[in-house]
Amino acid sequence: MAKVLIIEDETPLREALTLKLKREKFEVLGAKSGAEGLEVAKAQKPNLILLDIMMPGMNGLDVLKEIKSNAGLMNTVVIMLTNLPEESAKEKVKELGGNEYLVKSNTPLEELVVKIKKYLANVPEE
Amino acid sequence: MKIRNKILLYFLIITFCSVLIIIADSFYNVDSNIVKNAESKLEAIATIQENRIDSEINNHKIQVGLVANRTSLTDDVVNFNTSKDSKYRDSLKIRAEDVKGSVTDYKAVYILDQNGKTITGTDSQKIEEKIDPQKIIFAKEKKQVFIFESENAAKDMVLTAPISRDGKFQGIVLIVTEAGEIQNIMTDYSGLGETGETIVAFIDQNGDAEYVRPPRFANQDSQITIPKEQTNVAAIRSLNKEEGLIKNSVDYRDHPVYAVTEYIDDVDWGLVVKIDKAELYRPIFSHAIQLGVLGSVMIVLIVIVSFFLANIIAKPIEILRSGAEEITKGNLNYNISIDSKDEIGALSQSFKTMMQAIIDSRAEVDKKVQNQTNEIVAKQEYLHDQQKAVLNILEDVEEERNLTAQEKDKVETILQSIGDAVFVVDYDLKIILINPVVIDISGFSAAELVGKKYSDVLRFIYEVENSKIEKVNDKFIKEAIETGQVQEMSNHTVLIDKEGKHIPVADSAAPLKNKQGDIVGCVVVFRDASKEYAIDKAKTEFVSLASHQLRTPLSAINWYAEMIINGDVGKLTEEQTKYMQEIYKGNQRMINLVNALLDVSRIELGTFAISPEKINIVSLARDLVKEIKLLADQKKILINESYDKSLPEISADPKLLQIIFQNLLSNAVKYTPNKGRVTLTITKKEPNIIIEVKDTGYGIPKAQQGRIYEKLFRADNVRVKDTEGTGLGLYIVKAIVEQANGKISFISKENMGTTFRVEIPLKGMPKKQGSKALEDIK
Repeated sequence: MAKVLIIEDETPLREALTLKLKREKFEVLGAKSGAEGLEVAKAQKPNLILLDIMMPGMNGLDVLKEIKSNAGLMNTVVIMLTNLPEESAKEKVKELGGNEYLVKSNTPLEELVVKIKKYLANVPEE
Repeated sequence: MKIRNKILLYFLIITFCSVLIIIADSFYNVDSNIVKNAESKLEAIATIQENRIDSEINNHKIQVGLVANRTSLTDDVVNFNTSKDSKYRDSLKIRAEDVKGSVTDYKAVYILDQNGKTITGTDSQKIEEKIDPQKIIFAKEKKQVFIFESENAAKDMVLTAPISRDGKFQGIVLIVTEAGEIQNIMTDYSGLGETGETIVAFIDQNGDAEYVRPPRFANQDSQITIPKEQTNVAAIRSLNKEEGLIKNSVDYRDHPVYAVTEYIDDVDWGLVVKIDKAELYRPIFSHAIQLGVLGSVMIVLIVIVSFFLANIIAKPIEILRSGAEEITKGNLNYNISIDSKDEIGALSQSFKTMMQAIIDSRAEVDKKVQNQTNEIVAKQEYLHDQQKAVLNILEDVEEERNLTAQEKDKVETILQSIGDAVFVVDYDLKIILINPVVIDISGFSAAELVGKKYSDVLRFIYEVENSKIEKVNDKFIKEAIETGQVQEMSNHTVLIDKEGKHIPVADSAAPLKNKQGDIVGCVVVFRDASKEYAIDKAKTEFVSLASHQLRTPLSAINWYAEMIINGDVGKLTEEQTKYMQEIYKGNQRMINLVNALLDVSRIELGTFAISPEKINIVSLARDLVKEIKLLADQKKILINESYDKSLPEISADPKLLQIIFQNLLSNAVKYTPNKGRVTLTITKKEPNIIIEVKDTGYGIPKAQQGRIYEKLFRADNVRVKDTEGTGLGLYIVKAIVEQANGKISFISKENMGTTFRVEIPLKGMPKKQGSKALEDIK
């Protein structure tokens, strides 16, 4: 079963995502902050990470940088999720090696699920 | 020189020369004649004298020969020679006395023996002792005539003849006689003027020349001897056998003489017929004097005549001249009276005629002058008025100048007090004017700025947030000069001040034109936009934050609602589903509104970016049509597409094109009732691409068409219908289209439909730096 890590500081959003993904039969891990997320990632080695940008403390871009420079995590699929209007972050994300950049309020969960499934098609289901 | 004097002068010169020529000619001709005559005369006389001498000598020779031939005499001599008897001596003596008595001139007679010794004589002296022995010797052979050299001034002659019997020499007859005739020759001065004479001279025993008698000008008692060394004396020359006319000898007085000389061979005498050169030339001299006198007289006469002549000519001319002078002085009535019938008279006639003509023309001229004067006076008055006018104008100009100076001062004061920085560059981009704010902002001093090329001092650069790129950004100045149009500094222009600080600046450059309209420089105005940028930055951040905060709960609602509708937490009834859908729809509206507001704020802040790529506009359009088909199908609206075959790829920002299409298409579908039709047309019309979206919908009421692009405006007729819209779509589309250098327009009739038309230049959208792209709008 594919492991998905959700790093998102807004609880309602994190819970909605968790619910949806659990329904879709993913193993879901959660983290409330960037630092926490990194720890979990390092420990659990998820297949895919949903990463919020706007977080207090370490923001999503920093986390992304860390992930991509971590030998064990650099191949993890990372989808950036944000409600920020800053599209220039899109460039930064690409630069840093993020796989996707989605605006939460504009992306229905279904669409997100489809995308995740596409990325994890290779991962064998247990 | 006056004519009279000229005539005089020429006349004098001519006559003088002529007189000189004549005199010279006369001189040489006449005088040479005189001289020639004199010479001929001398020669003639010389010949005569020579003949006389010759004849005299002959006579004497004959005479003495006769004596020597007397038989009785000869007998006595022979007898004496043989017997030496004194009776014969006595006889001879008597005979000698006889002979002496027979001729008056005979002064002594001697008979000499065969040895030349005196046998007897009329006096007792031994005559042979007084005579040159050489001559005694010659006497034995021939008859001789020679001068008896004695102390006497007047010489006697000696005649000798040999006595011979039967061819045998017996003795000599020797006669001493007066040389009367010869001396007469010398005293014959006829034809020889006052200084001429004949000289007969002989060589004496010393070899010198002696005269046979004292000459004309000598003491009659003294004998004249000329030493043989005085070779220029005529007598010497004659005795040197020089014969003929001698012009350059002297006589015994050392006077220069003309002489004709002969050498009388027989007796070795010299004959000189001479005359003083002075006397010879006297006629010449007097002739010359004559000529001189004559000449002078002639000259005087000529002068007098020429005076008259000159007068004759010069006087009328003088009259004419003074007449002309009078006339020029203005005395036109001066009468010139020259009545001569010659050319001068004719001239004076012509003169008179000319005078009349002058008088007439003068009169005319006077009239003209009068008219001219009147005109001039009039003109003068006119000019005077003009002058006054000009003076007035000058006063006005002076006033203007003062005003202008005041204005200039005002302007300068204003310039100095403008709150923004103002500097002016000339056509070569050198700073020619600055105001104090420039110094404040840039930190450079006036000396560092004025006169320099602005780009050397004031560096305007591009600065993009989050990047280190620094590009020189002063195109706005160059373009203002080149295009002659006001250019705005592009956003994010930064000025680097003296200390290297980056100061965000904003404003514009305007071309500076001279009166002819030529661009001579540029006026650049800028202000420290740091605060503005800071404010903008704050605004942007606020908007970001606000939208983020708004979006977060909206996302939550969205997702939960989605899951419920999906049935993730249990099946819903139809009613429950409907309710949920309403919640979802409402939420969606809010999300759209937030997105639209974000875009509006970006548009307002000017911070949205245009990143053109090569786009196939047709394929983009097709995708977006597909998107809207969902909604269109629900309302059974037909969507037609019509694309030009030859549409090229266009350089455009795909996001922005997307927004345009989405908006126009969604509007068309939204505001058309069921079963209506929407047509999307994309065509090429140089230089643009034309996108047209036509619907058969509600249209826009004419009264409200003017407001359709306003933010949040929705026309009344669609409000009452069951449609949703933010009212921001068209505002955003218009802003995008205009930023892309395109145009948007529409035609609409209420209840008939609307056609929106967007023109985008084929050369594409200009790249625009911005920090944000526009959001998706649904």
